[in-house]
Amino acid sequence: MIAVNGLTKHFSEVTALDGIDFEIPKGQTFGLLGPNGAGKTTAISILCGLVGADSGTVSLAGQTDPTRPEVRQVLGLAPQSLALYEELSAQKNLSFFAKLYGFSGRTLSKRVDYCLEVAQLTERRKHRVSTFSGGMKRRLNLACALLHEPKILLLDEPTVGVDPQSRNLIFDTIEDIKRAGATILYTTHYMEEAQRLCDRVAIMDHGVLLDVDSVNALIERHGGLSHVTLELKDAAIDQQAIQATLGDHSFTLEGQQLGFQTKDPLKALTQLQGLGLGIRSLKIDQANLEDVFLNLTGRRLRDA
Amino acid sequence: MKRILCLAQKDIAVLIGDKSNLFWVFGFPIVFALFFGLVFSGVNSGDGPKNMQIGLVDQDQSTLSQRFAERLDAEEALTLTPMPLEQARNQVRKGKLAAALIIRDKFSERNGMGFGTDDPIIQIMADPARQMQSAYLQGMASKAQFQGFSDMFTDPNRAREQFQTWRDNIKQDPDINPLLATTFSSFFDALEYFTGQLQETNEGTDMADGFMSIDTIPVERQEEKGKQPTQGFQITFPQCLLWGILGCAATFAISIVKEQSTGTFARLCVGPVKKSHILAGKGLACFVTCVIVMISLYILAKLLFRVPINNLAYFVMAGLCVILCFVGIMMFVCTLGKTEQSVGAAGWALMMVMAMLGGGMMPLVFMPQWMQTLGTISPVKWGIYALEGAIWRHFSFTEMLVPCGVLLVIGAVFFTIGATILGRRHG
Repeated sequence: MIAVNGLTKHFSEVTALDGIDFEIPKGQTFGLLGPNGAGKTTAISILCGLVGADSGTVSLAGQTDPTRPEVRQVLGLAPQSLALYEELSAQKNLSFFAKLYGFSGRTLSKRVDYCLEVAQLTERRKHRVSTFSGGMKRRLNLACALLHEPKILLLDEPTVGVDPQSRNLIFDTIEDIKRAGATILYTTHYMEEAQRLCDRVAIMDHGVLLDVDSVNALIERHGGLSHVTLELKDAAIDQQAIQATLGDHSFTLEGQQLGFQTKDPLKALTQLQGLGLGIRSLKIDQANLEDVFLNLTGRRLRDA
Repeated sequence: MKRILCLAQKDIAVLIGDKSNLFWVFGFPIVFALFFGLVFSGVNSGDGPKNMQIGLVDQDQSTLSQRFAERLDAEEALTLTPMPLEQARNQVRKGKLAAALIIRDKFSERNGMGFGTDDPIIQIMADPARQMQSAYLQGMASKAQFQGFSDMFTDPNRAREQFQTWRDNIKQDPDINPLLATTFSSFFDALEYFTGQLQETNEGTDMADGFMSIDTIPVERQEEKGKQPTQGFQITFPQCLLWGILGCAATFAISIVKEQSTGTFARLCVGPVKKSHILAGKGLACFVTCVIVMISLYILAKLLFRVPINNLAYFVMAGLCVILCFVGIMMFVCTLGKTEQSVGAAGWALMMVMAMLGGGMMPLVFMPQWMQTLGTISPVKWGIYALEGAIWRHFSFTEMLVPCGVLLVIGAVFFTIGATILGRRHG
């Protein structure tokens, strides 16, 4: 449904995109995960024809020119900056955008009602957007992108600065759209969002696409070992037996607290149980996309 | 076209939704017109007219009419100049006289009293737009009449003389019924006795209040071609319109940049609208708003300030040219920066310079010659010039074409530059 090949974009001396490639099959949710300035918004802007690429090609619904009307009709965008008229009510905002897509009469009313319902703003439909909270504005921003039931949805950091309640509502909405069969490109710098929503994730940094795969495959490939911490009942521990059980993996023992790293925590724990260790508590820190980013770039995602 | 209309409708709704915008577009021009209009018309002194130039047409030429005129002339607020009727009419029409007072030929015959008849003995000729001066003169004339009336009753010799004349007239009239003649003679005897008593008690001055009738003749004020405006609001009305249109242009220029910074521009571009649609929508919204502003201010000027407009068709033509010019300038102004703040500051700075040079702040007629020459580079000057041409300069169609043509050319040039820069900026 979406294909990007060798996309490059420079802004003066800055390389925003450095030859990125990816493909998103129909009905899949694809995440672009990276810190601010990684080039995610530039990629989206080129994909929807707002900015021209220096080189490379894009293809949406089989069309290489995203400005063509047939592409526009199937494309929905929720930009990172709120694309709403604060002086107008939620209903007037939705009606205006719906009219631009050619809706009128009953169909228009139905679509507006549906989107207000999605954004859970039905009761505040007549209120000006300027009176809304950040979360409500984000929800309406997303709802505006859904008015014409687009087959391709580009969501540029749709949860920036929202409260947990609104975030969950946005997640639920995206999952509903996903179930309805839409192809979604989702940019974020929150790994939890990518892990929850995306079928596949591309890790981006400084305009370069570092790797693309499913979340599990990326963790498998770049996440490293899981951290296991055990609090033992007895102080008398046979360290040689533990080392023999864990094999190549090193471990630490401070008082009654045993810590080690392993690729398969479940297997290691089963083996340790065979030594007859009494375990008071157990903590496993599994590798995640944060570790993937750390291992790929040498920096933490939140520090980047 | 449907989409352009939809975009324009939205832009007007957004404008109305922001009260600060409404002030700059509607409120400020009215405040401006009120303030400067009052300054230039000089009607804000608050203690009545002073040194009103009044034409005196004495058709009676009697001692009584002369006394009446002397009493009026003694008033500090009035300066009476005797002249023939036609001269008085012309001078009122040209605004050289505040009004003219006509003492009709039956004045002495009726002893300076106008009651009991529909045929007035005094007429006031005045421009209906100068109602205050007209009413003031009417009051002064009534006062002078009452004085004359009370003089007759309080001066026993004058009263006796008058009653004797009436008695003689009755005696000399052969057709009058003898019984009626006797009744009248008895009545005049009683009246003579009564006025003698009044003189003793000094009560005669109050008895005639409200009995006089003075007729007012409206004379529409007209200016000869190329002459001065007839009232202060004629000077400030074009400026007021220009400020309204400047406010619209600045507001819409800022709104284009706001669209870009908030992301709505991106959403519109991703939707099924072309960039040209968006710009056309903005232009149309700005044009419609300016037309609404112009109509509102016109109605206000007519109802509140009674601003006379010499040629309404030319006024509409000038107004449309001014609006088109500033829609073009609006398109250029929005390219002066990339944020609302920068466009707002740069836009208003540019428009203030235009207004300063073009007579938007100080009326052109009060500016020194060199400033008027320098102002030629400002579209505000051409706008005011075109509007003044229609309002009080009495331009012919050919004369109107010059400022209107200049405005359209300026508008087209700015529009082209603005649209080109915007087109390049957004790919």
